[in-house]
Amino acid sequence: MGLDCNEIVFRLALNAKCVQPNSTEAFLLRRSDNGKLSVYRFAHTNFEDCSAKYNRPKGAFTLHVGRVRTLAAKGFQLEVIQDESVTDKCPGHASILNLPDPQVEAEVLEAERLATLLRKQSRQLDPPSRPPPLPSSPTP
Amino acid sequence: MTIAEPILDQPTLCGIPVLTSTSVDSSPMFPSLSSQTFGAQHGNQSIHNEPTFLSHVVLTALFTCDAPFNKLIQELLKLTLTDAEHPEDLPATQHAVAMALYLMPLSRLALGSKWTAPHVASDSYGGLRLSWIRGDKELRAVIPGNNKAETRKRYLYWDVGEKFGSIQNFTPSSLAAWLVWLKDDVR
Repeated sequence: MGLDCNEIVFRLALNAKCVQPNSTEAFLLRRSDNGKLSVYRFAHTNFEDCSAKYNRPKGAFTLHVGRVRTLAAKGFQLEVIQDESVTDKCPGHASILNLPDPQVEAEVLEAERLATLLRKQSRQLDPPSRPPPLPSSPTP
Repeated sequence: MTIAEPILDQPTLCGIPVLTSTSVDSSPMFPSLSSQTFGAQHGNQSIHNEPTFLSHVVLTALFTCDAPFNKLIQELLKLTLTDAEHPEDLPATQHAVAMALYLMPLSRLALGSKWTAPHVASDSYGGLRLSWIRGDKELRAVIPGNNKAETRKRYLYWDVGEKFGSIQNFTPSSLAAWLVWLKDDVR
């Protein structure tokens, strides 16, 4: 089921290489993505709670569902759908569909372009700061 | 080239293993490369654009003592290691690293002090992605993990404002030309 256009989703950046200023890696399909980009819905969870369940995400990118839907390139019209399963680490899992595959020669140009546009319309969130260490108890 | 005796210590230059005439076939950095790698296998179209293997070796050795280029080489080599946090991603192959080191030195020479190291990342399939951004101009050099016929070819992607495009099978000279475009204030 498609998400409401007003919703905000966020994509976790699990790799430090994805949060560099000129990096589009977070918006390109990778080997482990199974053809869709995994995101979470802010209406159901938040970055801090979700971070705790993943292995130290390096940041996250927020996206406006309605704006993502405006993106298209040569027949690739992006869609954002609810995509929850029992194996999800956080509630509110969703997926961005119809992204071109950067490993397919004929789809390279559109994959790069859409990744560029997604990065430009996203807002980056820094990883939640860790709580400061507890002060050591004073010795008598 | 064959080796009469085993090499006990890998020669290094500025902390990076380099190739010598006796270590070409056994280097951990380029074990699969032979004198044919950068020549006939790439097809007649680009033979004369690509250096001989020896010049590739010499260039790499020369640039390892150049601090910005040395940093790039170190980053490329790091990407050949399996990422413990993301074991599902394939690390960059030695083919991809060797190809990056073949493609990059000319741009370093051509741009001189204007040269900046790219942001480097693996593509999770064994290939490499090298990215530059300056203002609204973007340039990416994407190198596959192998040179099999069924694998997509290496490409350059450029993007500025509403315009974008790609160049398949780019050469060191085309990469250098596009990096000059990136650094140029003219769009």
